[in-house]
Amino acid sequence: MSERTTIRFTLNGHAVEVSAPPMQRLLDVLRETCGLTGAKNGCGEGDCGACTVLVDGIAVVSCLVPVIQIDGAEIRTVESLAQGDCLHPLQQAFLERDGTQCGSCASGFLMTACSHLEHGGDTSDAELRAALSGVLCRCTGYNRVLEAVQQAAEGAGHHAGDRL
Amino acid sequence: MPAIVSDHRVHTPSDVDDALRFLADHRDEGWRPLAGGTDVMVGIYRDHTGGQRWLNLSRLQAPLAGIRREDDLIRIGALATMADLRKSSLLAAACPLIGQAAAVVGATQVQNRATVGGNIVNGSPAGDTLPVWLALDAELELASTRGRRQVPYEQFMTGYRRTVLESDELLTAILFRPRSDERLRMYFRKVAPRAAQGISKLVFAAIAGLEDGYLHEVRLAFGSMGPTTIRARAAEQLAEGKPPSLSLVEKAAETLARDLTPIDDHRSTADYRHRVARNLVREFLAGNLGDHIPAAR
Ligand SMILES: Cc1cc2nc3c(=O)[nH]c(=O)nc-3n(C[C@@H](O)[C@@H](O)[C@H](O)COP(=O)(O)OP(=O)(O)OC[C@H]3O[C@@H](n4cnc5c(N)ncnc54)[C@H](O)[C@@H]3O)c2cc1C
Ligand code: FES
Ligand code: FES
Repeated sequence: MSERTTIRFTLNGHAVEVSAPPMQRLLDVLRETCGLTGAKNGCGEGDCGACTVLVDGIAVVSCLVPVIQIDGAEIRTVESLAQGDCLHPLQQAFLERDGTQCGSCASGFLMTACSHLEHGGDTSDAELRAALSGVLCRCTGYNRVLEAVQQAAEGAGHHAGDRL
Repeated sequence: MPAIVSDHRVHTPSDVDDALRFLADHRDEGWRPLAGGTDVMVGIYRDHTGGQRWLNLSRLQAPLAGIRREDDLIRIGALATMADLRKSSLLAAACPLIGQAAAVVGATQVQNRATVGGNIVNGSPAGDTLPVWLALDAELELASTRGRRQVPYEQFMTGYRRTVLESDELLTAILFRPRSDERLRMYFRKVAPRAAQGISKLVFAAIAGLEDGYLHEVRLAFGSMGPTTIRARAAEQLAEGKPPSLSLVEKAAETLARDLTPIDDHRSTADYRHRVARNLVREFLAGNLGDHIPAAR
């Protein structure tokens, strides 16, 4: 038996309505139904963080979210960060500090860091490492990621959340 | 999209009564609660299970996710997430072990979704919050249309991934007596291959009172040291009413093997687990002596 449900949510500021099996992964709905491929399909088991998106401002791994549970929610993906040609301070800092190489982890780091800073999270090395520990990267060695996030937070002033 | 997801069914009740009535009316149809989905989704997509029926609890957050004081107890709603536990100042004061355990469940993105009720009902012996409930003598509140019952956490898990929860019941809350007395000693330690996202080789939570230099109400609780979360009762009894001398600490550590029955598996060996368990109990009991207790080799 095939069961589909209509699910309405806000995606990067736009109201959308999709018809999907209720237990389908949010990740697949974003990539295949909505055509936003910024969230990556890495491990599919919650371990790598490449699929991180924000649900009502909170970072979650979209490979473990059944789409039925985002009915009425506000979803933000990496595609929401830049405003036209103007990069988000985090993206700009990742570029300047070589926070990414192959790029497969980048949207996971950007969205996790975005949520952390928006919630006024601490940007000390230890706190940031803990906050970002759910995203795996095979290329950068993490230090440059850390530096990029710190640079973005500094650029945005002491209360990073205000401007990011 | 794997074909299997299309044949799962979901019902989303709008309040707790509605949920319980639905479970009662459809008792033998295999409906299971869906909370944060972190265990459920891994199960569906890794094991390719199809055709399951899910009672989606996501609209029950208001009644079931709160953390509050209730008379002289603390009440944690089953839908509270690990992030909620980690950030709760009420819990930090009532028992810091809870926040410490929640902070080592996966990484932040998982903590933002994983609920404490799911951790308990999922019933993995490696669940990181579980030894804390055991050490706290916590009680679980189970609800159905037949009424509410309270079960000591210690009696909840009956075997490997088996619990006393009936198919028409929801876990609604965890209740425990706050422990803020400064004469209490508490300890939590997860032993895993890496700091984030590792599944425990073993996990240990302990609480003991120290009154006039004598130990009392000693609780030594372990995860991944048997098919269920388990208390090291023989060692607890040995320590009860005694000062934490070096010889007592040694004897207690050596007595652990009477209760703990770890196995060799892909995460660790029984031998390693026994050895680490002894060292953790030494560290906990001897913590105030100031002497260096040599670790077992
Ligand atoms: C990448 C990753 C890392 C992880 N790391 C850890 C770790 O380090 N330590 C650890 O302990 N766990 C870890 N986990 C597992 C942890 O996320 C789960 O055990 C979680 O707490 C389960 O909660 P949930 O809300 O996601 O439950 P769900 O997946 O929704 O449900 C789990 C089970 O509980 C039942 N259930 C849920 N809520 C209720 C209720 N209120 N009443 C009755 N039944 C209910 C469901 O029917 C299901 O059988 C990890 C998981 C992932 C994916
Ligand atoms: S793809 Fe979701 S965490 Fe790896
Ligand atoms: S840049 Fe390649 S995985 Fe992070």
